[in-house]
Amino acid sequence: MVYVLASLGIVSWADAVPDVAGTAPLSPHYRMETMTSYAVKQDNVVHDTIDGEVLAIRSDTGAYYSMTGTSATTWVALLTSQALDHVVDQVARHHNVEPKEATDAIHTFAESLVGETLLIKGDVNALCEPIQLPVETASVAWVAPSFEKFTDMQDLLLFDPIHEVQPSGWPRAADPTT
Amino acid sequence: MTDASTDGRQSESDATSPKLRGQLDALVDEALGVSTARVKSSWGPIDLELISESFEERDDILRYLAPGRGTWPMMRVVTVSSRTIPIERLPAQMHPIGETSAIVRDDDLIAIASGHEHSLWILRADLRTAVRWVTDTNDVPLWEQLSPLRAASRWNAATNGAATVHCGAVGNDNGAVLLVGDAGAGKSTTTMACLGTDLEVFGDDFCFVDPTEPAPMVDAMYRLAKLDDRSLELLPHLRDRVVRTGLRGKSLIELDQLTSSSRPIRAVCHITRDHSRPTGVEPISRMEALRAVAPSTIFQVRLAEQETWDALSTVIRKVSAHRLHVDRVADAPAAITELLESTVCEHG
Repeated sequence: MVYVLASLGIVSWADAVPDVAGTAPLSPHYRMETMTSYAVKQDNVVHDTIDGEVLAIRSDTGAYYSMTGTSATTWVALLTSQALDHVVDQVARHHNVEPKEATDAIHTFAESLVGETLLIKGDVNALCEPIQLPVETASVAWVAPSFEKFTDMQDLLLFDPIHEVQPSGWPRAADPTT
Repeated sequence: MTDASTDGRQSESDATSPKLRGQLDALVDEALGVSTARVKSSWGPIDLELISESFEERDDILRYLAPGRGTWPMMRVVTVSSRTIPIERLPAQMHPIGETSAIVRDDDLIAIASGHEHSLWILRADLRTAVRWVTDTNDVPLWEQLSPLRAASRWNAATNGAATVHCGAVGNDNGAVLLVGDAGAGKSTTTMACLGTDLEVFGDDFCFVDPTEPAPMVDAMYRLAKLDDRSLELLPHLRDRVVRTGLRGKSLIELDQLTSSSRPIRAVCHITRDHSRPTGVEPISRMEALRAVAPSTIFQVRLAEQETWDALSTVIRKVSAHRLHVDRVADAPAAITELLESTVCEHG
């Protein structure tokens, strides 16, 4: 609720944002981004989490992404569209690390997922509820989250000529620049 | 109307959308009027009514479709060409010409124009009708000839909570195994190695997969399988079953009639070539199995992606996941048979 008030300008940003770690002031970078939230880009992305592993596919390009450990935890947390500071807090607790140690890495990871058009920035879910994170990743030691990206699908399909799939998939949208 | 994509640009619908919807609806009505060669059949789980311009074209399509249980609600597929509906009657933005593709989605309508296929699909959920307009029935891409109506089957499967999945499938009275893997990994060869053994082959490339309770089911989609010359050298006994050759290095092989058109799925096997050890089976994570089947399934038919994904991931959660590492392909049927026996024991 604090974040809604802040977004309406009812309270000052500095007043509204708590010190998540409770021990040290937050960096200006973190303060700026705490109102950010993320959501999956639903028109082109399908995804699932099974046994603590994430697979996400961009159906328009055939690129697919694998995430495990801290990456899977962070992906699941980001999909709740809750404020980034809450995501950081929950992920940090899950992996038994101080939030301030995870903040920049999670922000960078989220932005890289936006760069891959897997996530979009969206409205903050102000509920700030506990996030159900994969139990399978709870024992994983903290490392900066990252993803594996696979782009072999186009080549693999072209390898099998019977499919006649063009590089950008089927049906193919023509590139207006060519 | 949303998600209109033309000439590589994503755009929301504009004021012309009601007009476009009206044009597409009128095309459906006209196709139903001019296509008169009708037949009712089953296609895997689909209760199918196929309507074409000519009996010859209707039979050309029908000969590839695997009959089955036909327990889903009826789907009507209408095929029509520019012979009877000239391209000028199609909405201009949906002309399937050159490299252009366009997708239009509405609540109960999806229209897909593919210049690559020279086709326009109009899928009307409220009528349970799929209309395929093509420029020329003699100019259909080879893969559409050999695996016809894939767009309609994907769409219809999605409306029934199921999926068409890029996999081979073999089985016996104990159930079925989905064989998945990248193109070139030996999926077709391993699948076809089971032909003529105690295992039945449900398909080498695409199958219907239904995450129904209590066990997910697989149904055959096509009567024919494709095998390249190299694989035929490994499986010389299949040369007698070749019904057509010269398909860009592949031959068409007729599959046996199934004793049961669908089987409960017991396992998913990720096929890998491995000459460092004898052919065998080992457990893998479900995610590895999903990774081996989902991208190509989703990518090849860009339609009903979310529904297809949901069905596939549901099935993966319900069955066991294994890697089938293949040294000698002739040993694969025995390994699969043994796996089916063990999974039946697990399921009681």
